[in-house]
Amino acid sequence: MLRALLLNRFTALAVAVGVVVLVWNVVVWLNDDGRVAGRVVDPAGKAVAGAEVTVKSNELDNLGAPPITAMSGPDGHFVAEGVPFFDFTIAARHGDARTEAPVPYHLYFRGQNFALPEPLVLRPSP
Amino acid sequence: MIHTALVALCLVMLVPFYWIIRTSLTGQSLYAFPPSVLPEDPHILYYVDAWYYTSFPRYLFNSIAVSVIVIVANTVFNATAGYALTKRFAGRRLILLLLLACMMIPFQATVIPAFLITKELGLLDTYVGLGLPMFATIVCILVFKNSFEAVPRSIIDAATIDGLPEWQMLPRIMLPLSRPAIATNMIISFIFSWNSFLWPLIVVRSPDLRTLPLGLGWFLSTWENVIGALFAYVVMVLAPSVVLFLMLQREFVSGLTAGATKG
Repeated sequence: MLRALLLNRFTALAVAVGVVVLVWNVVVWLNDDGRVAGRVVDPAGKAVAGAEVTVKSNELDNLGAPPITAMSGPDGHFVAEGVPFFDFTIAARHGDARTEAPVPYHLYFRGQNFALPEPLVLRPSP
Repeated sequence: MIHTALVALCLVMLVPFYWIIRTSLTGQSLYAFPPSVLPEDPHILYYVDAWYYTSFPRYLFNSIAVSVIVIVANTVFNATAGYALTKRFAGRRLILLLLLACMMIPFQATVIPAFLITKELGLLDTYVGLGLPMFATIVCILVFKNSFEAVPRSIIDAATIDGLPEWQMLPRIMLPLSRPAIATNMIISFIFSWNSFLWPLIVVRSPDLRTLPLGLGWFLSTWENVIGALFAYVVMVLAPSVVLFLMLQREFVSGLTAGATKG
Protein backbone atom coordinates (compact mmCIF):
# COMPACT_ATOMS: atom_id res chain seq x y z
CA MET A 1 0.00 0.00 0.00
CA LEU A 2 2.90 2.34 0.72
CA ARG A 3 4.27 1.63 -2.74
CA ALA A 4 0.89 2.49 -4.31
CA LEU A 5 0.78 5.67 -2.23
CA LEU A 6 4.24 6.73 -3.35
CA LEU A 7 4.03 5.71 -7.01
CA ASN A 8 0.91 7.53 -8.14
CA ARG A 9 0.48 10.71 -10.15
CA PHE A 10 -0.80 12.80 -7.23
CA THR A 11 2.24 12.10 -5.10
CA ALA A 12 4.50 12.70 -8.10
CA LEU A 13 2.85 16.04 -8.79
CA ALA A 14 3.01 17.12 -5.14
CA VAL A 15 6.68 16.13 -4.94
CA ALA A 16 7.48 17.90 -8.22
CA VAL A 17 5.75 21.10 -7.07
CA GLY A 18 7.46 20.87 -3.68
CA VAL A 19 10.88 20.43 -5.28
CA VAL A 20 10.36 23.39 -7.64
CA VAL A 21 9.18 25.62 -4.77
CA LEU A 22 12.11 24.54 -2.60
CA VAL A 23 14.71 25.08 -5.33
CA TRP A 24 13.24 28.48 -6.21
CA ASN A 25 13.24 29.58 -2.57
CA VAL A 26 16.87 28.49 -2.19
CA VAL A 27 17.83 30.45 -5.32
CA VAL A 28 16.02 33.53 -3.97
CA TRP A 29 17.55 33.15 -0.51
CA LEU A 30 21.05 32.94 -1.97
CA ASN A 31 20.59 35.96 -4.26
CA ASP A 32 18.39 38.49 -2.47
CA ASP A 33 20.96 40.85 -0.96
CA GLY A 34 19.67 43.67 -3.16
CA ARG A 35 23.07 44.28 -4.72
CA VAL A 36 22.94 46.17 -8.02
CA ALA A 37 26.33 46.52 -9.66
CA GLY A 38 27.46 48.24 -12.82
CA ARG A 39 29.89 50.64 -14.41
CA VAL A 40 29.77 54.31 -15.33
CA VAL A 41 31.64 55.46 -18.43
CA ASP A 42 31.85 58.53 -20.64
CA PRO A 43 30.88 58.48 -24.35
CA ALA A 44 34.41 57.34 -25.19
CA GLY A 45 34.09 54.35 -22.90
CA LYS A 46 36.47 55.72 -20.27
CA ALA A 47 35.59 55.00 -16.63
CA VAL A 48 34.06 57.87 -14.66
CA ALA A 49 34.97 57.99 -10.98
CA GLY A 50 32.81 59.72 -8.38
CA ALA A 51 29.59 59.57 -10.37
CA GLU A 52 26.39 59.47 -8.34
CA VAL A 53 24.18 56.52 -9.31
CA THR A 54 20.50 56.61 -8.32
CA VAL A 55 18.17 53.60 -8.27
CA LYS A 56 14.48 54.58 -8.19
CA SER A 57 11.50 52.29 -7.80
CA ASN A 58 9.32 51.77 -10.89
CA GLU A 59 6.84 49.55 -9.04
CA LEU A 60 3.23 50.69 -9.41
CA ASP A 61 2.53 50.39 -5.68
CA ASN A 62 5.89 51.78 -4.57
CA LEU A 63 6.63 54.75 -6.82
CA GLY A 64 7.30 57.13 -3.92
CA ALA A 65 9.87 54.91 -2.21
CA PRO A 66 13.14 56.69 -1.33
CA PRO A 67 15.80 56.02 -3.98
CA ILE A 68 19.01 54.14 -3.29
CA THR A 69 22.25 55.92 -4.21
CA ALA A 70 25.83 54.77 -4.74
CA MET A 71 29.07 56.32 -5.95
CA SER A 72 31.30 54.93 -8.67
CA GLY A 73 34.87 54.04 -7.76
CA PRO A 74 38.14 54.91 -9.55
CA ASP A 75 37.49 52.22 -12.17
CA GLY A 76 33.93 53.43 -12.74
CA HIS A 77 32.39 50.46 -10.97
CA PHE A 78 29.63 50.97 -8.46
CA VAL A 79 27.61 48.71 -6.18
CA ALA A 80 24.26 49.83 -4.79
CA GLU A 81 23.47 47.80 -1.66
CA GLY A 82 20.10 46.95 -0.18
CA VAL A 83 17.98 47.68 -3.25
CA PRO A 84 14.53 46.33 -2.31
CA PHE A 85 12.90 46.80 -5.72
CA PHE A 86 12.15 44.29 -8.48
CA ASP A 87 11.25 46.99 -11.01
CA PHE A 88 13.41 50.09 -11.07
CA THR A 89 15.15 52.72 -13.17
CA ILE A 90 18.80 53.60 -12.78
CA ALA A 91 20.49 56.84 -13.69
CA ALA A 92 23.88 58.44 -13.08
CA ARG A 93 25.23 62.00 -12.96
CA HIS A 94 28.64 63.58 -12.55
CA GLY A 95 28.83 67.34 -12.56
CA ASP A 96 26.98 68.49 -15.68
CA ALA A 97 27.03 65.08 -17.32
CA ARG A 98 24.24 62.58 -16.85
CA THR A 99 22.65 59.53 -18.47
CA GLU A 100 20.32 60.47 -21.33
CA ALA A 101 17.33 58.87 -19.63
CA PRO A 102 16.85 56.58 -16.63
CA VAL A 103 17.37 53.00 -17.75
CA PRO A 104 14.57 50.60 -16.70
CA TYR A 105 15.24 47.10 -15.42
CA HIS A 106 12.80 44.42 -14.30
CA LEU A 107 14.02 41.58 -12.09
CA TYR A 108 12.53 38.21 -11.09
CA PHE A 109 12.14 38.89 -7.38
CA ARG A 110 12.54 41.69 -4.83
CA GLY A 111 16.12 42.39 -3.83
CA GLN A 112 17.60 40.26 -6.59
CA ASN A 113 21.37 40.66 -7.00
CA PHE A 114 21.85 42.13 -10.45
CA ALA A 115 24.74 43.23 -12.66
CA LEU A 116 23.88 45.77 -15.35
CA PRO A 117 24.44 44.24 -18.80
CA GLU A 118 25.44 47.62 -20.24
CA PRO A 119 27.48 50.41 -18.63
CA LEU A 120 25.78 53.72 -17.84
CA VAL A 121 27.01 56.31 -20.34
CA LEU A 122 27.27 59.91 -19.12
CA ARG A 123 26.75 62.64 -21.66
CA PRO A 124 27.15 66.38 -21.13
CA SER A 125 23.84 68.17 -20.52
CA PRO A 126 22.75 70.37 -23.46
CA MET B 1 -13.79 13.33 -41.53
CA ILE B 2 -15.60 13.54 -38.20
CA HIS B 3 -12.31 13.38 -36.33
CA THR B 4 -10.93 16.21 -38.44
CA ALA B 5 -13.96 18.33 -37.65
CA LEU B 6 -13.67 17.52 -33.94
CA VAL B 7 -9.97 18.40 -33.92
CA ALA B 8 -10.75 21.68 -35.67
CA LEU B 9 -13.48 22.42 -33.12
CA CYS B 10 -11.05 21.64 -30.28
CA LEU B 11 -8.52 24.06 -31.73
CA VAL B 12 -11.18 26.76 -31.91
CA MET B 13 -12.08 26.09 -28.26
CA LEU B 14 -8.42 26.42 -27.28
CA VAL B 15 -7.96 29.83 -28.93
CA PRO B 16 -9.06 31.84 -25.82
CA PHE B 17 -6.64 29.86 -23.64
CA TYR B 18 -3.83 30.41 -26.12
CA TRP B 19 -4.64 34.12 -26.25
CA ILE B 20 -4.59 34.42 -22.47
CA ILE B 21 -1.19 32.71 -22.23
CA ARG B 22 0.17 34.71 -25.16
CA THR B 23 -0.93 38.03 -23.64
CA SER B 24 0.53 37.05 -20.28
CA LEU B 25 3.90 36.56 -21.98
CA THR B 26 3.88 39.62 -24.24
CA GLY B 27 1.53 42.18 -22.68
CA GLN B 28 0.12 42.92 -26.12
CA SER B 29 -3.54 43.92 -26.02
CA LEU B 30 -6.17 41.95 -27.92
CA TYR B 31 -7.03 45.12 -29.84
CA ALA B 32 -3.48 45.84 -30.98
CA PHE B 33 -3.07 46.52 -34.69
CA PRO B 34 -1.68 44.81 -36.64
CA PRO B 35 -2.57 41.70 -34.63
CA SER B 36 0.10 39.04 -34.32
CA VAL B 37 -0.73 35.42 -33.61
CA LEU B 38 2.73 34.37 -32.48
CA PRO B 39 4.12 35.97 -29.31
CA GLU B 40 6.74 38.65 -29.95
CA ASP B 41 9.54 38.90 -27.39
CA PRO B 42 7.88 36.71 -24.74
CA HIS B 43 9.04 36.85 -21.12
CA ILE B 44 7.70 35.86 -17.71
CA LEU B 45 8.20 39.20 -15.96
CA TYR B 46 4.46 39.91 -15.95
CA TYR B 47 4.06 36.92 -13.64
CA VAL B 48 6.45 38.65 -11.25
CA ASP B 49 4.28 41.78 -11.39
CA ALA B 50 1.10 39.79 -10.72
CA TRP B 51 2.78 38.04 -7.78
CA TYR B 52 3.86 41.25 -6.06
CA TYR B 53 1.06 43.69 -6.97
CA THR B 54 -1.83 41.57 -5.74
CA SER B 55 -0.81 39.73 -2.53
CA PHE B 56 -1.12 36.60 -4.65
CA PRO B 57 0.30 34.22 -2.01
CA ARG B 58 -2.34 35.33 0.51
CA TYR B 59 -5.19 35.03 -1.99
CA LEU B 60 -3.88 31.64 -3.11
CA PHE B 61 -3.80 30.39 0.47
CA ASN B 62 -7.36 31.62 1.06
CA SER B 63 -8.65 29.95 -2.11
CA ILE B 64 -6.92 26.68 -1.25
CA ALA B 65 -8.26 26.75 2.32
CA VAL B 66 -11.83 27.38 1.18
CA SER B 67 -11.57 24.74 -1.56
CA VAL B 68 -10.29 22.10 0.86
CA ILE B 69 -13.13 22.83 3.28
CA VAL B 70 -15.67 22.71 0.45
CA ILE B 71 -14.29 19.47 -1.03
CA VAL B 72 -14.30 17.66 2.32
CA ALA B 73 -17.76 18.91 3.32
CA ASN B 74 -19.12 18.25 -0.15
CA THR B 75 -17.87 14.68 -0.20
CA VAL B 76 -19.26 13.91 3.26
CA PHE B 77 -22.69 15.49 2.76
CA ASN B 78 -23.20 14.43 -0.86
CA ALA B 79 -22.16 10.82 -0.21
CA THR B 80 -24.42 10.62 2.84
CA ALA B 81 -27.37 12.07 0.95
CA GLY B 82 -26.69 9.88 -2.09
CA TYR B 83 -26.56 6.77 0.09
CA ALA B 84 -29.81 7.70 1.78
CA LEU B 85 -31.48 8.03 -1.61
CA THR B 86 -30.52 4.46 -2.51
CA LYS B 87 -32.85 3.22 0.24
CA ARG B 88 -36.57 2.71 -0.26
CA PHE B 89 -38.62 4.92 2.07
CA ALA B 90 -41.86 6.86 1.96
CA GLY B 91 -41.44 10.19 0.19
CA ARG B 92 -38.23 9.17 -1.60
CA ARG B 93 -39.65 10.03 -5.00
CA LEU B 94 -40.89 13.38 -3.71
CA ILE B 95 -37.46 14.21 -2.32
CA LEU B 96 -35.83 13.30 -5.62
CA LEU B 97 -38.27 15.54 -7.50
CA LEU B 98 -37.61 18.32 -4.99
CA LEU B 99 -33.86 18.01 -5.52
CA LEU B 100 -34.27 18.10 -9.28
CA ALA B 101 -36.55 21.13 -8.99
CA CYS B 102 -34.03 22.92 -6.76
CA MET B 103 -31.41 22.48 -9.46
CA MET B 104 -33.44 24.93 -11.55
CA ILE B 105 -33.05 27.72 -8.99
CA PRO B 106 -29.92 29.80 -9.63
CA PHE B 107 -27.69 30.56 -6.66
CA GLN B 108 -28.17 34.30 -7.22
CA ALA B 109 -31.85 33.91 -6.26
CA THR B 110 -30.87 32.46 -2.88
CA VAL B 111 -28.11 34.91 -2.01
CA ILE B 112 -30.17 36.93 0.48
CA PRO B 113 -31.38 34.01 2.63
CA ALA B 114 -27.90 32.48 2.40
CA PHE B 115 -26.39 35.72 3.67
CA LEU B 116 -28.88 36.01 6.52
CA ILE B 117 -28.27 32.41 7.62
CA THR B 118 -24.49 32.87 7.45
CA LYS B 119 -24.80 36.08 9.47
CA GLU B 120 -26.97 34.42 12.14
CA LEU B 121 -24.42 31.63 12.43
CA GLY B 122 -21.69 34.22 12.96
CA LEU B 123 -19.75 32.95 9.95
CA LEU B 124 -19.40 36.14 7.95
CA ASP B 125 -15.80 36.89 7.04
CA THR B 126 -14.63 33.35 7.87
CA TYR B 127 -13.34 30.46 5.78
CA VAL B 128 -16.31 28.25 6.72
CA GLY B 129 -18.70 31.06 5.83
CA LEU B 130 -17.02 31.40 2.44
CA GLY B 131 -17.66 27.76 1.67
CA LEU B 132 -21.03 27.29 3.40
CA PRO B 133 -23.36 27.56 0.37
CA MET B 134 -21.19 25.07 -1.51
CA PHE B 135 -21.24 22.35 1.16
CA ALA B 136 -23.67 20.27 -0.91
CA THR B 137 -24.19 19.97 -4.66
CA ILE B 138 -27.32 18.31 -6.03
CA VAL B 139 -25.54 17.08 -9.15
CA CYS B 140 -22.97 15.28 -7.03
CA ILE B 141 -25.67 13.81 -4.77
CA LEU B 142 -27.20 12.21 -7.87
CA VAL B 143 -23.76 11.08 -9.09
CA PHE B 144 -23.14 9.37 -5.74
CA LYS B 145 -26.63 7.86 -5.78
CA ASN B 146 -26.06 6.34 -9.22
CA SER B 147 -22.62 5.11 -8.23
CA PHE B 148 -23.90 3.45 -5.05
CA GLU B 149 -26.76 1.82 -6.95
CA ALA B 150 -24.19 0.28 -9.32
CA VAL B 151 -22.51 -1.56 -6.42
CA PRO B 152 -23.58 -5.22 -6.65
CA ARG B 153 -26.23 -6.15 -4.12
CA SER B 154 -24.29 -9.31 -3.29
CA ILE B 155 -21.43 -7.31 -1.78
CA ILE B 156 -23.80 -5.39 0.47
CA ASP B 157 -25.57 -8.61 1.51
CA ALA B 158 -22.24 -10.30 2.23
CA ALA B 159 -21.15 -7.36 4.39
CA THR B 160 -24.46 -7.47 6.26
CA ILE B 161 -24.12 -11.20 6.86
CA ASP B 162 -20.58 -10.64 8.16
CA GLY B 163 -22.06 -8.33 10.80
CA LEU B 164 -21.17 -4.93 9.40
CA PRO B 165 -23.43 -2.28 11.00
CA GLU B 166 -25.47 -0.10 8.64
CA TRP B 167 -23.62 3.08 9.64
CA GLN B 168 -20.34 1.53 8.50
CA MET B 169 -21.69 0.44 5.14
CA LEU B 170 -21.01 3.84 3.55
CA PRO B 171 -17.40 4.42 4.63
CA ARG B 172 -16.22 0.81 4.40
CA ILE B 173 -18.08 -0.63 1.43
CA MET B 174 -19.72 2.04 -0.71
CA LEU B 175 -17.09 4.78 -0.80
CA PRO B 176 -14.09 2.55 -1.57
CA LEU B 177 -16.03 1.15 -4.53
CA SER B 178 -17.07 4.61 -5.76
CA ARG B 179 -13.75 6.29 -6.47
CA PRO B 180 -14.94 7.74 -9.80
CA ALA B 181 -17.86 9.40 -8.04
CA ILE B 182 -15.53 10.82 -5.39
CA ALA B 183 -13.22 12.16 -8.11
CA THR B 184 -16.19 13.72 -9.92
CA ASN B 185 -17.35 15.29 -6.69
CA MET B 186 -13.86 16.66 -6.00
CA ILE B 187 -13.52 18.21 -9.43
CA ILE B 188 -16.98 19.80 -9.47
CA SER B 189 -16.78 21.15 -5.92
CA PHE B 190 -13.23 22.41 -6.48
CA ILE B 191 -14.18 24.27 -9.64
CA PHE B 192 -17.28 25.79 -7.99
CA SER B 193 -15.34 27.03 -4.98
CA TRP B 194 -12.20 28.07 -6.88
CA ASN B 195 -14.12 30.22 -9.38
CA SER B 196 -16.72 31.56 -6.96
CA PHE B 197 -16.86 35.36 -7.08
CA LEU B 198 -20.34 36.54 -6.04
CA TRP B 199 -20.49 34.81 -2.64
CA PRO B 200 -16.98 35.83 -1.48
CA LEU B 201 -17.74 39.38 -2.64
CA ILE B 202 -20.75 39.42 -0.32
CA VAL B 203 -19.25 37.64 2.66
CA VAL B 204 -15.67 38.92 2.78
CA ARG B 205 -14.99 42.10 4.71
CA SER B 206 -11.26 42.06 5.41
CA PRO B 207 -8.69 42.26 2.57
CA ASP B 208 -6.73 39.36 4.10
CA LEU B 209 -9.60 36.99 3.41
CA ARG B 210 -9.96 37.74 -0.30
CA THR B 211 -9.89 34.76 -2.62
CA LEU B 212 -8.25 34.72 -6.05
CA PRO B 213 -11.33 35.85 -8.04
CA LEU B 214 -11.84 38.72 -5.59
CA GLY B 215 -8.16 39.57 -5.91
CA LEU B 216 -8.62 39.75 -9.67
CA GLY B 217 -11.52 42.16 -9.25
CA TRP B 218 -9.46 44.29 -6.87
CA PHE B 219 -6.53 44.20 -9.32
CA LEU B 220 -8.77 45.40 -12.17
CA SER B 221 -10.18 48.24 -10.12
CA THR B 222 -6.81 49.38 -8.75
CA TRP B 223 -4.37 49.37 -11.66
CA GLU B 224 -4.80 50.57 -15.21
CA ASN B 225 -2.86 49.55 -18.28
CA VAL B 226 -1.50 46.35 -16.73
CA ILE B 227 -2.73 43.93 -19.37
CA GLY B 228 0.28 41.61 -19.15
CA ALA B 229 0.15 41.31 -15.36
CA LEU B 230 -3.63 40.93 -15.44
CA PHE B 231 -3.47 38.01 -17.85
CA ALA B 232 -0.56 36.50 -15.93
CA TYR B 233 -2.78 36.58 -12.84
CA VAL B 234 -5.57 34.89 -14.81
CA VAL B 235 -3.19 32.12 -15.95
CA MET B 236 -2.04 31.55 -12.37
CA VAL B 237 -5.67 31.28 -11.24
CA LEU B 238 -6.62 28.93 -14.08
CA ALA B 239 -3.64 26.61 -13.71
CA PRO B 240 -4.75 24.62 -10.61
CA SER B 241 -8.22 23.90 -12.06
CA VAL B 242 -6.74 22.71 -15.34
CA VAL B 243 -4.10 20.58 -13.61
CA LEU B 244 -6.66 19.01 -11.27
CA PHE B 245 -8.98 18.18 -14.12
CA LEU B 246 -6.17 16.65 -16.20
CA MET B 247 -5.13 14.53 -13.22
CA LEU B 248 -8.66 13.30 -12.51
CA GLN B 249 -10.25 13.29 -15.97
CA ARG B 250 -10.34 9.49 -16.23
CA GLU B 251 -12.18 9.15 -12.95
CA PHE B 252 -14.35 12.17 -13.81
CA VAL B 253 -15.67 10.60 -17.01
CA SER B 254 -16.25 7.20 -15.42
CA GLY B 255 -17.92 8.88 -12.44
CA LEU B 256 -20.40 10.65 -14.67
CA THR B 257 -21.27 7.45 -16.50
CA ALA B 258 -21.32 5.13 -13.48
CA GLY B 259 -24.52 3.19 -13.37
CA ALA B 260 -25.45 4.20 -16.90
CA THR B 261 -25.20 0.62 -18.13
CA LYS B 262 -25.79 -2.67 -16.35
CA GLY B 263 -22.82 -4.93 -15.60
